Amino acid sequence: MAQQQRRRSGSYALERYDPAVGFTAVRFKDHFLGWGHNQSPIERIDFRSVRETTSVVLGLIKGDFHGTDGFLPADQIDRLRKSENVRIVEQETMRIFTIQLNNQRAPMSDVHVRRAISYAFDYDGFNNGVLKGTVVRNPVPLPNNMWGVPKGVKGYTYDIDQAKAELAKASVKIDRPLRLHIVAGNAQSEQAATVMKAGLEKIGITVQIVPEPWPTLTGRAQKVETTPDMWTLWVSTLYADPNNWIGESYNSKYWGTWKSSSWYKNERVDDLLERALRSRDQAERAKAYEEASKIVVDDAASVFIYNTKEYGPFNKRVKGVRFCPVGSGQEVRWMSFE
Amino acid sequence: MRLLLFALRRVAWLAPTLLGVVALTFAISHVIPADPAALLAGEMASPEQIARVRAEHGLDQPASVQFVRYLGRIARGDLGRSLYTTRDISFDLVRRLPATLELTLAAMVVTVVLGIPIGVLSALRRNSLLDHAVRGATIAGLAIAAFWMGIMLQLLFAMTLGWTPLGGRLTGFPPRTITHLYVLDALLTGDWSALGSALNHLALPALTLGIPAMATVVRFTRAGVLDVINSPYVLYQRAMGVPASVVVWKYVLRNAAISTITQLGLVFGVLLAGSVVVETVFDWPGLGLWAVNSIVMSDYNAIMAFTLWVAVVYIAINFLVDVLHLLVDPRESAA
Amino acid sequence: MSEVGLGLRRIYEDRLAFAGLVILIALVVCAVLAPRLAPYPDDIKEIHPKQRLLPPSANHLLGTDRLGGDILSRLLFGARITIAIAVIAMGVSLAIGVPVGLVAGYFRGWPSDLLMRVADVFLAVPQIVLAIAIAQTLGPSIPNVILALSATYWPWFTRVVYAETRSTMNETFVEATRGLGSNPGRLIFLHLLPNVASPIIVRASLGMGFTILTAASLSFLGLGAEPHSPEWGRTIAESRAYLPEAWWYVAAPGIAIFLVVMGFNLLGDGLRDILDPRIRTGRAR
Repeated sequence: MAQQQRRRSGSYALERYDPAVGFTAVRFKDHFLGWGHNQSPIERIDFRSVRETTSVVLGLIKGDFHGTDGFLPADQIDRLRKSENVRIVEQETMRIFTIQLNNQRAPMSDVHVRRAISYAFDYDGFNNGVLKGTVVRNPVPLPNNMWGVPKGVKGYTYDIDQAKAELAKASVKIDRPLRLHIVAGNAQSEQAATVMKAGLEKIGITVQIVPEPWPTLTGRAQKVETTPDMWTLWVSTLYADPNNWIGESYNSKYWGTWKSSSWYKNERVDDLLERALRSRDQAERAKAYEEASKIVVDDAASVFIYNTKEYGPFNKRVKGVRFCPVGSGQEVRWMSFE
Repeated sequence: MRLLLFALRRVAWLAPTLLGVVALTFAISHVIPADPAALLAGEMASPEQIARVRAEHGLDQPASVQFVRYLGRIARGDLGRSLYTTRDISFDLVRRLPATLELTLAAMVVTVVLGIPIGVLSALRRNSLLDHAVRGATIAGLAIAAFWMGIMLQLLFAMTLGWTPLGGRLTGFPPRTITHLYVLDALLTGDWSALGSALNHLALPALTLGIPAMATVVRFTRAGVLDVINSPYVLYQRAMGVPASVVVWKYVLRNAAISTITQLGLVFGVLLAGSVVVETVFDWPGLGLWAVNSIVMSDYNAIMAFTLWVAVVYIAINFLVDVLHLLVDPRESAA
Repeated sequence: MSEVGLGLRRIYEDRLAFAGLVILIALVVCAVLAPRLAPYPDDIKEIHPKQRLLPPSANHLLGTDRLGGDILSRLLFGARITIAIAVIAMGVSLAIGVPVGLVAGYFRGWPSDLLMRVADVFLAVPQIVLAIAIAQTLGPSIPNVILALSATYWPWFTRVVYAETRSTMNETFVEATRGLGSNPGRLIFLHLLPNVASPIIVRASLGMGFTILTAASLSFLGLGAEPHSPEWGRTIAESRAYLPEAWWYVAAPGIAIFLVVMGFNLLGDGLRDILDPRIRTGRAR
């Protein structure tokens, strides 16, 4: 199997390792969960570390590789669908994509500017054009399919006239280019930034796109002075609860963490989120999250773009693929090979 | 004796140049940046963290003191720590070296084995169709971006025809390790499938790296052979009735070989420089790809170490080539 | 003035050099007139996500890229970046390299040796490697790429100028004039510079092609042009994820680079053939 990230699994033991190549693992027969659930488990896994996406895709098409992670670009998914050897396991997951805005720095400190920015992103063009519909529009601060999402909130649409109207109401001047930081080497991050830039150009705001390595970006988020004006951010499922998204991002007690890099502070929202965190009553929590979401959207704290659908490409002969949104992983111990 | 004197003179030239290159990398990493400590500490470091880094690395000392310390570290083989992997850079460097070495040698083979005969033939058949075609090809070869040619070769041979893999060094795990050069190891251990795989993976990268160098070699060889053909000695031999084939084999080729050795230094420089983009295109896990990864991760220490390494190798190769040239063509020692 | 005319005439007669000149003139025209020539001049800023990766057609002669931009239009604007980088980098290299070479050639003794030694040090590192180190340290951007290229190319000019200067200085007439106490300025301007001009021109022309390739490589590696720039090397890097289906995406910028570098190389070779014999047969000695 070819993977672009390493996973730990107690059910398989490391056999050989070479950082430039990858590693092999053999089945650990005495794993504590036992193997009774699987008649023909996979005995050996060969993980390869392959840098170039096209290599992975062609390997899958040829049948050299039997699976890979679910982060392939949309065009590659299309190619794989056409291949006889490959089956795409499609799952809606919980991983939202946003552009964070530094709410504490002018001009993003002005809500009208933030709304203008939110109206200037071509959501349809990006989600359905660039990403070819492999993602779902997600206008709220937590995944659509999570409980706690307010009903009927349409969010922002791509509307240049509205954007200009909002900008006209702003009380701060925009006299400098805004810096939009992206993850270096990540093509989707780049394309999203370009879509943002193209939209902002139309309302007279210039943008400078700055690629940086991920560790640099998360480091920046620790302090408000070093946090970028704007940066592209995915928030995935560490634990399946609304607090994972809206809580950690918009409750000001989390300031200094990378999720909270919008440096947003609203007393009412803080109060709602704190109460929701402490409560054990799901209905009550849901109501609190719904109200908080509406405020955050109205305040345009960040630009909310999409929720991910995961497409796990696997060789048709691999059976038993089970999906879990946490960590976007699959456990090999459920799989077998025909 | 003459050889010894020459060698000593060249060494005398070598040392200051090496020192100069170390000074250059020092200047780039310590003098140019507004705050080298901030670069080392990373973008997000607090002022206290930066100050600590500055003290730890002695970056608050005057430049001359820093340089002496830098020199001492380099002399001990300590190239610093990678900002990204946090391992010793010399460790990473030695680990990635065999892949680049294998690729460079393969490209060298392509360059020399194809380049010299083509150059000789082109000169012997001057102004023929072959000659014009070769000259056109070399001019074109020097105008093509190596990274683009690599991608186009991939497009044709790997993606469309499926004759070669897209990239990487090997499919499957390496043969038993002796030299870390897969082709050699596979041969030595009789691991035929690994041999086939290694050669298959080497084909496109070696071509991509070798062809621009080949263009240079063909040009030089052709010029060298033309010079020799028109020299009085050869004209005399032909006038005396010595058959052309004998003259070609005995005299022309030998002199062509000498002129080629002269260019080896230049060729090696082209190969070293080219390895960065070629390894990137073909996902070849050598020093070039390591350098590019370091670029993406802003690992300044690694980039500096790479620069220094390449310079040292280039200087060393040129020195060896000079010595070799001297051995082969003693007339030059008069210079 | 008549010498320029004579020079141009000779370029015309050397067909290859002339071809090179024609290509370069075409390049300059494309670059200067890009806004007029480009079918979709706004595509350097605007995106059209619903028209991504279209193959070449009547509407888009070279197809569209990953954000729907017309590749032909973007290539034309990319020509501006290519020319800017080449000309400025060469200019700065000249501005540094020529005076250093003149000084090193004119004077004798350790200052001269030192200067040439410094040049040797820069030449000891293959250009792209040194350029990567400099560009990475300064931060990826086109101005920094230009700086890195200039900083690594100047020694080529120094060497050429030094050799020419030294040989001129060894001429007896120079010794004579110096003996008579003429001022160095006259010497430099009346005698040295005219002799040195030819090799400089040849070297500059050959160097342009090489510089363009190195600049494209740096952008390919992510060290030069910023995201969404129509720079040719960057476009090639972007195109890789869409191969083999979108072959036009990689072919077009690569051929553009090839043509331009070819143009400079042909012109440079031709100039060398034209100018060299003139150096030998010489000026008033």
